[in-house]
Amino acid sequence: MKKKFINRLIFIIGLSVLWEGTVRSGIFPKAERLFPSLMDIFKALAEVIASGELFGLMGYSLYLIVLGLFIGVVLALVLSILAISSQTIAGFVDTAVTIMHPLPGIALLPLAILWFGTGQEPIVFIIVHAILWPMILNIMAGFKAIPAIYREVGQNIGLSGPRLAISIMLPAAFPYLLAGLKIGWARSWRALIAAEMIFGTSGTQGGLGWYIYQQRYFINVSGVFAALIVIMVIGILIEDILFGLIERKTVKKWGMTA
Amino acid sequence: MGNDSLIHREESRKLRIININKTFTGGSQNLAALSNVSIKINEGDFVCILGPSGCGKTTLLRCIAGLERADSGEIMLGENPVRGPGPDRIVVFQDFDQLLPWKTVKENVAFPLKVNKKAPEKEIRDTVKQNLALVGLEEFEDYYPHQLSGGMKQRAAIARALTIHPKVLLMDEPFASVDSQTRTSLQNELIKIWEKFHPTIVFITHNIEEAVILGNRIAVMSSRPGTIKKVIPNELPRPRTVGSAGFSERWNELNNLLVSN
Ligand SMILES: Nc1ncnc2c1ncn2[C@@H]1O[C@H](COP(=O)(O)OP(=O)(O)OP(=O)(O)O)[C@@H](O)[C@H]1O
Ligand SMILES: [Mg+2]
Repeated sequence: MKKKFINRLIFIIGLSVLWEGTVRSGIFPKAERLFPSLMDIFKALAEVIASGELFGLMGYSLYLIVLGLFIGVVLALVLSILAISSQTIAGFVDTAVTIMHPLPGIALLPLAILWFGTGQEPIVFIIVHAILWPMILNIMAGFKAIPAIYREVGQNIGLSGPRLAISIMLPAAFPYLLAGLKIGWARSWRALIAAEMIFGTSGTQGGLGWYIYQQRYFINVSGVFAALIVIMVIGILIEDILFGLIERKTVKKWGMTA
Repeated sequence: MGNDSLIHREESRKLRIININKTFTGGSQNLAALSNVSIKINEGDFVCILGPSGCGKTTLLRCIAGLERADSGEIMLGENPVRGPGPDRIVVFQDFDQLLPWKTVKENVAFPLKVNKKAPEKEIRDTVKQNLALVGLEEFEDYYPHQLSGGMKQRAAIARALTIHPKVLLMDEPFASVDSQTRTSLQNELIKIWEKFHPTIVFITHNIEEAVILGNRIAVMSSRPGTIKKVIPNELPRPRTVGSAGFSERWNELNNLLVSN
């Protein structure tokens, strides 16, 4: 963990040096505004932080993604549990996943706008789409990989149906569930930023993707980079710190791996 | 409760395996595992099933548990045919990995009680403590299964099976993986539990000595396809040890039955 952190730090410092060197060397003479120095980027970053704007942006984006993830995970769980309880539903779910999984969320945007108008709903729709299918795939794979004996132990002590699913199948498939959640998070975080750029505001509120789009409009490249840094940092924090923590508290502690 | 109803209740809990057959169909070849197996087991009886490896002991036990369906024949518990698994017939599996890995030892042992809401929290905690002490795992109650040895896992599984005082206890070579001292003490504990609560016990082993020490009756199975060759009453006075009077005669009798396949 510590080693990983140091490695990353070295990499980031190296990259920054390379960046700054390139900017100062004047290889891109007229394009200072398109390729800003680190100083300018951090100034822009400091500005959005100081003005409090950043927290509004982050809050909005994170709110949308948490809402989308929640709906997506619940839907995925419900559909997967139904699918293991009934062959017919399993057929439907399998077909739906096959059709929908390869479809990029952005391709659904026009449809989402027609259905929901602009605002939060189409973005949440895109997020749900991004997480639902890989999550179902993972949960189903997890259910199939459960050693028969866990189910038998559950049935033996009197569990069946939904209680068996919740008390035995879900925890037994948890490593797969978590893997699905990680993939879902990564996909939906990207989908969110992309969707926001296309119509990120509802009223006066907007998220990070919308902010990037706006800064491009004002040709404030430092602002664009500042927002990109924030997006990356959030990604790393969630993937390394949050998911790392969940893993240590669950699958690693239990000695289970997917 | 009057005497009559007690007798009636005992009769109504008789476990009857009536002429069951089981063939596994795996791809091209069929494998006959059980052939015309019949045995009647009274409530509170302690029957050991003795047989060579691969003769169908586990298959028979899984049929009784309702985890496997016999191709023909019937298994009755009292008046009711066995149609599926249920907490009146608790299994201790042969498999090491029968504990739920996401629960601690303590939680695993408490699980059957929690599921069946048999008792209030406090009582559950006490029962779990007692049962863990019984199998010598009280120090490991907060461990996760992957931190235990094979034998410890098996002991925890036994503690779990005992918590809800099942009417029928189906044990599949539960002591096969522990050292002989632990085995002896677990055997003694099992006898104590049986004398106290009188569950019906079906106990699989391929250890003749263990069968003689434990069983009220010993059913000897032939090798595949498994049939019940003979059921021997084993009324040696308890406690029994290898040196008890009649022990070696019984041992020889069973050994002869086993080798004369
Ligand atoms: N699910 C299954 N599918 C196919 N064949 C099986 C299955 N389960 C058991 N068998 C076969 O049935 C026969 C009896 O197996 P079983 O596990 O009942 O033997 P056993 O008496 O318990 O042996 P051991 O003492 O080694 O545990 C074996 O030949 C085995 O290969
Ligand atoms: Mg076996």
